[in-house]
Amino acid sequence: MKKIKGHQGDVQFASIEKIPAAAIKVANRPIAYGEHSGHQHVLTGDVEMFEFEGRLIAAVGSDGARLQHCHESNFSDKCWTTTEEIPVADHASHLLPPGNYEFYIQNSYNPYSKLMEKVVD
Amino acid sequence: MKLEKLTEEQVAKMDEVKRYWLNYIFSCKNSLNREKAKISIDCLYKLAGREEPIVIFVDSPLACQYAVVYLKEFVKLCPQLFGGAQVWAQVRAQVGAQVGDQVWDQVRAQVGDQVGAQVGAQVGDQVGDQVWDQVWDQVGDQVGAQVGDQVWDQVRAQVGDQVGDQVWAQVGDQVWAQVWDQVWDQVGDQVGDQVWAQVGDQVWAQVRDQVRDQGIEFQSFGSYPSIGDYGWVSFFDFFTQIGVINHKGFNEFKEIFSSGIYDTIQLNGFCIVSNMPSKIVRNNSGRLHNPTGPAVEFPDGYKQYYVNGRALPAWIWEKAEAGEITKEMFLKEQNSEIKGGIYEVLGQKRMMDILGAKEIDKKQIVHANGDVETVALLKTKEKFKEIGNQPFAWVKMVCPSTGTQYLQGVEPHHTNALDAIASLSPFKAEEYSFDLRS
Repeated sequence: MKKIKGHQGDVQFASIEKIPAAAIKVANRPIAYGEHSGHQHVLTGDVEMFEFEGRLIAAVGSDGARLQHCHESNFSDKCWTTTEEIPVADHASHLLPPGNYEFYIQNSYNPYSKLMEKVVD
Repeated sequence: MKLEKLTEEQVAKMDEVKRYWLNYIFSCKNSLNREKAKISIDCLYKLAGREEPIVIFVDSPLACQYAVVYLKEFVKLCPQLFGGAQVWAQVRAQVGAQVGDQVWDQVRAQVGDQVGAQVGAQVGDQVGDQVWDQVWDQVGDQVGAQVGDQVWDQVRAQVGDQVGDQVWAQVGDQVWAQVWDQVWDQVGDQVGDQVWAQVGDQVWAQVRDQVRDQGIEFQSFGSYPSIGDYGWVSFFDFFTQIGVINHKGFNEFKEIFSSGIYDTIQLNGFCIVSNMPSKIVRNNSGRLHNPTGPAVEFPDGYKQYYVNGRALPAWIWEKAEAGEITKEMFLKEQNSEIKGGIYEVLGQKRMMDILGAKEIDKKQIVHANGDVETVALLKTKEKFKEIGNQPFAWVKMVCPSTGTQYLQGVEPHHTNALDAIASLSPFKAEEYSFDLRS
């Protein structure tokens, strides 16, 4: 199957073959959240989320999932299970076909700490 | 059925319990329930064999420290404190003025913020209403350690033993050790680290430094209940919720803990209680971090400023907002932590504008979906000692949704814009092509 790679704002993702056996299932939650803007990147629809060694992984089921960028005020608990589009904050949504995906937050280099730090928009 | 390992449901419950306690503080939606907190504090004092204290509620840990200063002044100025309501009413007016003269200047005026202003009134009102009914021995006699010992003996140690007994009886040593470690790693340690190590400890250190800078004696905060309890409370809460234990003392302590107490100073006859923060901002690593304002704020307006967990002076934010940070100021600053703070607070674009930068390389990326993206690598002409005698370097990109130009810092060794942008992602330069972009 062709590997899918995507980029939405500061969030990047790629399809992966399988979920690591030791990955822990976690409650679905925003992939990234901007404290100041109130904007969030969320994956909604037929999806389960996992964590493994600091990695965030999603298993998208047969009904698919939608990666959305929305304001927190437009999001409620019932949004988690639907691929219906929520009003877009800045970045257009993407429908993801069934499969496993890993999500990443874009980095920025801090010359003082000499470390890569995750960007928060 | 024997518990061989945690079930899927129990593992999910660990996540739920962890999130509950993290959310309890980090949502900043919980605040002090004074009625519940008063009952709780009375219970803890009784546990330590002490009389019920006068409980003084304030809105920040700094206000707790100021409250003790006011209390000490009351003691000095009111030897007739136990003379009854009438005497108290007379001396209270006198004390108000004297405290105003002697303490106000030292505390509130020096600090110049609204915290001191509120504390005087809070202490006066709350003490005034209750004091003649109370036993006052000596303010300044810390009873926090005694309360702490009792909570340890009667709750924390016992509940730990109970968890141990219950689980060990079911599964034996090896599995028990695994379960304990797993729950501690996934719940207790993570919650404790995020709440205490990354926030509580930092806030304490700042309060301590601030009161000492003002010549005020720092009063230790009590151990139970406090911001330091989230780790062990969440750990035992998990075992309670999955039905392994049902410990009366722990259940009561959890209730106390859920009254919204952030910290206390436990004195003989008085207990000063701080409200929860009204705002906490952290970075993705869980460290206090807010380049655009205070990272911690309490309901009385007490604020602390942090960049990536480093406490920094408020003037950085004030001058940045006023547009008063210049290249000369940046170059003259000797403290590298402050320079790092300025770098974060100004943001990449303003920093680049102040320091000046030239374009080193530009590349076009044709993405898998046909989008063409142009990225540029920029560096300052000057090199800077505090960052290893290197220039500052950025990569400039354009958001396909909004058209906004973004700058992100990159390592200074880069000479190729494509390598530079790929270095910010998990993808190699040759893989840096997306099917979906927005």
